[in-house]
Amino acid sequence: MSTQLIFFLVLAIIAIAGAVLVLKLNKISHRIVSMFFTFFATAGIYFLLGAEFIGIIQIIVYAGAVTILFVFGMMMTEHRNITFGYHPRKIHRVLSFIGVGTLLGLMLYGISTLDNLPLKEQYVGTAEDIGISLYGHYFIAVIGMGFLLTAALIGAIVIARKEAK
Amino acid sequence: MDLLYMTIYSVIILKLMLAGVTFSILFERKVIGYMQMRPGPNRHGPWGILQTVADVMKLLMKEDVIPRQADRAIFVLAPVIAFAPAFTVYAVISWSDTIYAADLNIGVLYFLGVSSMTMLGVLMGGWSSNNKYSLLGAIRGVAQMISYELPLVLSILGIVILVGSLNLRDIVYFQQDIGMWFIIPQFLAFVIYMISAIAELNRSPFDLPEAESELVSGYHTEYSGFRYAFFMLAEYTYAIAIAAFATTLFLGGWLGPAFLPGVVWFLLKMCIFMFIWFWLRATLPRARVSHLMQFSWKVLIPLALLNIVVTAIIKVWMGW
Repeated sequence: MSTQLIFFLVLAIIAIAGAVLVLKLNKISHRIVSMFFTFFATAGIYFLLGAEFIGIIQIIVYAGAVTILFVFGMMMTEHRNITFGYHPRKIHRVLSFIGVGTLLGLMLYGISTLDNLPLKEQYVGTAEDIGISLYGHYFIAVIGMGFLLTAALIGAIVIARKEAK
Repeated sequence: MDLLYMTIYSVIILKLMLAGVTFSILFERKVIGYMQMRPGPNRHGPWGILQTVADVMKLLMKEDVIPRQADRAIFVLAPVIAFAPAFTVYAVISWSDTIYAADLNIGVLYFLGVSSMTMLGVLMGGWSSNNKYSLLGAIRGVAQMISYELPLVLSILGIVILVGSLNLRDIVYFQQDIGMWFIIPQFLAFVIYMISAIAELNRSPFDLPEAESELVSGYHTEYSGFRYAFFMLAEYTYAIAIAAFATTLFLGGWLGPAFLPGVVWFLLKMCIFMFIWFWLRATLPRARVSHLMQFSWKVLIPLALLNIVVTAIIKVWMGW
């Protein structure tokens, strides 16, 4: 068993366990922490694949920013344990089982057909390549997105100021 | 074999770092002591050299108190989440020409991204303690860290523009090539970096999250014994990491006259940064919250942006 496989298994188990715990745990704060572990393990898998840039962006954006956002959301709202009555009807269970089963089948089919791809040499997504393609081929899209986000930010500030008066 | 080598390296770094933290705390107390015209700790061992060891032993042997109303799982996990990223960033730091762990292409980005997660540990610790002082301290800490992360990152961008690489080793080699440390062409960036690093570390004069006179001691009010020690460890580990990062970026890493090996130069330069932080702690009073935020958003960030623009123009003009 190669080192990569061991690390992949560890990270995959952490990611899946975290994702399951997000659904299973009762307190929202515990769910956020398990979500953090899922994000982090996913970033680790990106690193294993050689996609360092995407991995670090996953850490900054998801494990860093999104988790902090969730924590603030949790602190600003009530955090009592809210449980939904656990009495789904039988038909719901059957339907959801069929739905999930179909999804699993489709995904397995997709993954099994992927194997026939020719194994090229491992692609390393460097920051330079990403920068060149962002500011070369997708230049207008990037600038447009920048304008849109700036407008959204200014709009948010304006809305927040009005309330304070 | 590669895995074994990596594990041994990280264990050695962990041990050295623990020793480093122990002695940097002693160094801090001695420096502040001499600045305040008193001897500082001098009872344990010669020159008080075992003082921190005794303190740590005391903390480890204390009773482990967890408040009954606290969110137990998060309360236990928070110090670990605070410490792990502060230690993980040591992976990209290159101590000398030959001693390094990962020659990562995006080293700068890795350092900044991973270190920003210490925030989550602070927030979780403050929230789960179920104590208003802790919560206030944690919210202050996170607001401060988010605000000062921007000038910290922006100040480094000037160097990245000049070097054209995010690799920490490439940055040092570039400084070797131009025969000058980045502190000279990027002095403005250096000042911005130092100020925002102090705020990032929650050190005095920006230690508002731990202001003992108003918040008892901020986000770790409810922590005691070895969990408290863990928070302290995380703080000093992060301080040493930031000093190492600053050494690599601004003071030419392991470069120096050849009569000493590179590692020694690196560690000496780190000591300068640690000394500056302790010096500031002994001399400056604590800043006010509103001043702190205004200073970041209205002074540091515009200055950092200005630095980026000027650096870019110079780079194109001089053709570096």
